Formats: sequence, structure tokens, C-alpha cells
Amino acid sequence: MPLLNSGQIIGHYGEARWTPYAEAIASHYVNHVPFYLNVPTGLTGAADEETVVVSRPWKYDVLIFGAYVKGCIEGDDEADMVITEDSDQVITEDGDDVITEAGGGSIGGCDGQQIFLQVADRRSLLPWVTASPINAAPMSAFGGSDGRAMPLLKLPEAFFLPAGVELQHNFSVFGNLATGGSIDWVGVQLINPIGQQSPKEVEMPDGSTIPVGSRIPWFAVIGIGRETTLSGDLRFRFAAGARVLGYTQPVDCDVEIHDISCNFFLSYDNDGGNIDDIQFTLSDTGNRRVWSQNTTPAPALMGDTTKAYPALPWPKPYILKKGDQLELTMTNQGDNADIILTNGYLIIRGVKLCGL
Amino acid sequence: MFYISKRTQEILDCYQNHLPIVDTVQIGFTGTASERPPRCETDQVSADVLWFALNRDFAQTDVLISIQSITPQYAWMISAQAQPQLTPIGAVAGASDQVMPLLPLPTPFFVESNGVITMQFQNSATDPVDEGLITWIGVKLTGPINGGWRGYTASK
Repeated sequence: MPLLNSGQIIGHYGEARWTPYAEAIASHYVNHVPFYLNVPTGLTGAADEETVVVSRPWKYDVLIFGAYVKGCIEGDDEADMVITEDSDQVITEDGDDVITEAGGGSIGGCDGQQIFLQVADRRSLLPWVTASPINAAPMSAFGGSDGRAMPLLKLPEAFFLPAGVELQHNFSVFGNLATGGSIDWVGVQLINPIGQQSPKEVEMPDGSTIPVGSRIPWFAVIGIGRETTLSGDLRFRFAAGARVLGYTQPVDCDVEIHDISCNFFLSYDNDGGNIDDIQFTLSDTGNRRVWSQNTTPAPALMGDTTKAYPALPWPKPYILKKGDQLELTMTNQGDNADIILTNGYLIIRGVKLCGL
Repeated sequence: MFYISKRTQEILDCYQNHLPIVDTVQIGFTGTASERPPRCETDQVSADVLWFALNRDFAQTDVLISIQSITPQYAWMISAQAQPQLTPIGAVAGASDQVMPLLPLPTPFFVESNGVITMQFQNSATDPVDEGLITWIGVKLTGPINGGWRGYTASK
């Protein structure tokens, strides 16, 4: 049985994912040196802001393995409350004041869940994130963040960035305010190519020869719930008892699906919801033999920034054929009408097999 | 936890002995916000070394770092800004209070004997660190076979 083109080990923890593709490319170079590329978002705290940031071209070829993100949004601007349960006492010593901020804003989260990003290299201009529904994915689907179980999140496949080519980043926010933040790409510089020339093709475990640059990241985003607008801001709202169908955009070539990430475990939990109430069934529109009979709680299907695997890998990558879509049936099994999952997204991550 | 790639195995195969090495370096922070203390560097080691991972002893996430190696001489970090910004420490080194106190490098990095890695730090702007330690974890390579690995100057 041939080895998997995606590599025999699924979901390394913590270090670069040296897939057969990455190993094959790197073997054409004498020297490998760690590489870190810092890209600020340029966001300034304006409403519905969008920025475009282009990285500096680098003098060496680079393999990008993953990223670290930092992106804080401002929380609700309400006066502080001291919340107690029935019969609780707030005990102070004589003369003490209980000090709260008046009308202060709270940080709404710094893991990039509500700052959105689209990426493309300036040679191919092939976007990493599908156009539907928002032409971007939460930053938390691209990188891990500090203070969480996994500071670095690996891409499904190492991305080959040729020397002299920039990466274009489109950052955006919907209905939230964000200032600053950044994404730091982490990878390996490839120096001194053997034969003085970067490789054009590499051989894969199944014996096929593919062009370098033909395996590029693929992020398909599905908004969780019904799409609405509120004061001109795009919202996805998923109320208790709701049941909604969602689809990935049809793929324009075969895609190797690796894992699923989402951005709502922390926020839904903070709102008093139970993430096990958000449940899904999964099927492939082009292959009706791929389906699930029962709904599955979200944590069994997807990761988020609070988990050791921010993108939870499937046991084995699955090939979604050209023109087909993944169909998700979403149900909210919660029973509290006041707890609504807002602006939740799930991101199906994989490798597009026709980059160049 | 550590993945031995083909290149890493190629390096290891050039030496008879692979010994653990731990190098803790004092950063030199004085508790001043946004300060940039003088560059610090790893200790010189009398053998070739493969460095694998880093740890820091403070939790602040807005401490910044830039790394350069000497022998071989390479810069590790670039920034998309016209005014270059150093890299957040959280992308480079694990923290002792996290479930992952050691963060592996994207690839183990080879340093020739007596070579060093230099580090420029910038302190947190909001909660400055006093003193601060950064620890490098690696493998000391002794008993070189045919002179050891010299990939940085090799030609094929």
C-alpha cells in the first residue's frame, strides 16, 4: 500500500509538519534556517475596517509551516457589574471601597477569532480562502496564540514561497473594533539550491511527480446559523432549536481535506452556552456514501484556539473531488432562547491539489 | 515531540555521539517598559550543536525577539513593516506556565563549534519583565565522522 502523499503521521504536536512534499523540496537545498515573518494587521479600531498588507519579498525560497497570531477585539462597552448568586455576600473590611471601572470596555478576546484574513501570494494570486461567504477566515484558523495550549498552528501542507515573491494579506473586521495585532508566519529558509536552481518538480510517495507550488492551503468557511445584517453589519445567528444547512463553495479542483477549526468555543461558553449543544452531520454532495447518521457535538469534529489541536485532524485526509461540496446540517440543541451563537464560523482546512 | 527530518538525521549521522545540552541565557531586562537591553548570546560550545527548542521563564506575551546566528551567519526574522518590528516571543519560545513549556523550532538549527546565536530583546510595553531567562535545548554533537557535517559550505 503506497504511503500517503500527506504523510504517515497525522497531526504533529508542536513542531513543523515535514510532509513528503516538504521533505522533497527541502532535500534540494544545502542549508535550512528557521524563518519568522511578522505581518501587522494595520487595523486602527475603525468600524468595518479592511486593510491590505504586503510582506517584504525575501532573498531565499521559504517553506511556511504555520503561524502564530495576535489579534484583540474590543468587547462590549458596558458599565461593570458585580454579579452574585442569591444569598451571596460581598465581604470587605471596614472602610474598603469596591472599585469598578465606569463604562470601561473589556477586551473581547485576543486570539484572532473575530479578525478575518485572506492570503494570496503575489506570483499566482491564488487565494487560500474560498470566496463564500465572507472571502476570509478568522485569524485563529491560520495560527495559534500565546497562553493557549498550542501557540503555533500548522498549515495542512507546507507552503512554498519562492524568493522574491510577496504574500498579500487582507485583514477585516465585521461589527467589532480591533487595533493592531499581527500574524507571524513560521517556517524554514531554503538556502543554496543544489545545481544553483530551485526545484521545479518533486516526487511524491505514490510515485507521481508534481510541480513545486502545486499543493497550496485551502480554507473553506461556513457561517454557523442564518445570515443576517444588523445595522449594516454581517451577522450569523444560531438560536436554540434552530436547524440550518450549510455548504462549502464547489471546489475548482480536487482538495485533500485535513482538519476543521472553529472560532466559537470560548465565546459561546462565556455567554453561558454549552458547546456540546452545537451539533453537525456531514456529507459529501458528490459521494452520497459519505454521510453521518446522527448529529455530532462540535468538539468531536472541530478544534478551536483553546484546544491542543486548534484544528482537529481527521484520522485520514479525505479527497473532495472537483465540483463537489461538503454539506453540513447544523443543529442547536440548546434550550435557552437568550443564548444565541453569534458570528460563529467553522473552517474546513485542506490542500488544493492544483496550485500551479 | 521532536520530529527528526531527513536533514536532521543526515546531520546526526555525521557524529558518533549525541549528548543533550541545555543553555540558559540571562536576557538582562531591568524592568523598564519597551527597553532594548544589549544583545545576549548563547554560550560558546566546544562541539557542534543542533538546537531544537526554546523556553522562557516569563509569561508576558508582548516581549519581542530577533535572532541571528553567527557561524553560520543568518538572520532568522523579517518584518512586513517599514519600521521593522521584532517577533513576538510567543511564536518562538514556550512559557513555563503553559502546557507546552518548550516550543520546537521549525527545523533544528546547526551551529558550528564555538559559534553562537545572538538575540535582541525588547521588553513588554505594559508589564515589563525584570531580568528574564531564555533557555535553548539541543543536542551536542561529538566524535565527528570525517570532520562532521559542514552542509553550510558543502557543494554537490
